[in-house]
Amino acid sequence: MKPTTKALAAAAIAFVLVHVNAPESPNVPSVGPMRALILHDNTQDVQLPAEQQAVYHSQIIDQWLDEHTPKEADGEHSHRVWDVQTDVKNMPQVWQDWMRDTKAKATKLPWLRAEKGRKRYNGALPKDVPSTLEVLKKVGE
Amino acid sequence: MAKTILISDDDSSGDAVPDGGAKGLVQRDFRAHPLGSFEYAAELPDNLIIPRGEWSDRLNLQKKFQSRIIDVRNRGMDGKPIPSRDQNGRGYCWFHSGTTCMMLARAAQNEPYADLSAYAGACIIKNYRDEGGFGAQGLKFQAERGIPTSEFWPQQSTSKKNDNPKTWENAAKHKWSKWYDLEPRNIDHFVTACLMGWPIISDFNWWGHSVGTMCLEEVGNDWSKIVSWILNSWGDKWSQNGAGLLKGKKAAPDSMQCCVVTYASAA
Repeated sequence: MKPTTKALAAAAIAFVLVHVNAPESPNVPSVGPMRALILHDNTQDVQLPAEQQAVYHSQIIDQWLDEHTPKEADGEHSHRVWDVQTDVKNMPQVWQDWMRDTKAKATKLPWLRAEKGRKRYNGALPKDVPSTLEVLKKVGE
Repeated sequence: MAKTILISDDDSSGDAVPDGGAKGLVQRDFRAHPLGSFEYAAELPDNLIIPRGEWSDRLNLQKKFQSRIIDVRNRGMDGKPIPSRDQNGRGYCWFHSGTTCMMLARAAQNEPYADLSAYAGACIIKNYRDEGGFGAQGLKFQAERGIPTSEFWPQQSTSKKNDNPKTWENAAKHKWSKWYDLEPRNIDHFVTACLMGWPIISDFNWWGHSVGTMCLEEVGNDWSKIVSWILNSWGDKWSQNGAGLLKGKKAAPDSMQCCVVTYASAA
């Protein structure tokens, strides 16, 4: 990546982090530990660049999120990869709220929502694993 | 770690077809159960098929980022491998293959590990008899009623006491909501599902067995170049932690359903 492109990407991420920091729902706490959701659509995934689709299950993303999100009552870390058709009625209320609010906010798919306290990213899933990790680090570190 | 078993068309490069474990596949009769005829099951639309020119690059990328379903399986139980199922001598492979795929799909969504018990649905469908079936038969039940955990239906139990409302209330948390009924032995369908990260319920008539296909190890434009990873239901002592390799036409399922979306739930 050329320095100018890198600078532009950093500026774009900073813009989103600064400007998307208001809770979407009264049920979503304004402070708290890190939580992340990748929302995608299986009927559109085949059209995605392979580099972007590789983000969903990449080990480096999964392990980073395991290290930076708390375990919930069910024993799993608080990050998920869900299709838009996933039925979440059996999930805790906070996840149901997240799914509802993220679906309402996502103007395109795949989408990434990551929050830690007041640091937030709520935008299109970055184009590949390294840039997704960069966004997550800005939120979670 | 035990040697990985490779079953190939080419006897000189592969291991002998294992014959030690229970199987139980009854070949699907496509006249009685045509493609896409099961409730909820759609055929794979042509616009979802990945062009052959992209296959190799996509697989290489999956390997680079360790994003194949075998990678998900190997870290899916709090960083450790998800245990393979064990049908323990009964001819219930056809329900275990779908159960295996459910556990893999849950791990791909980062749902917590749930020790799902395949005997539950198999016992109910067969009225507790030790009888064979085919993968789509199990899948239909899994979509309608789900699969309970071993807390409610212990692994390998055939006790009728397990069949109670609490068991099925738990099972309803582990249901399929979307899958595709793929064309038998269609390489484009098979490779697409593997590259999309959709576990495949795979019935192999040559083996008389149904297992879960996880992903690809090698890819090419005809079956002779395909090597796939399967997760068997003969326990973790079989092959490498229950996972083995199929090569060539041995990897081509005679009936296959790829599992796309499950309900999200705690264990």
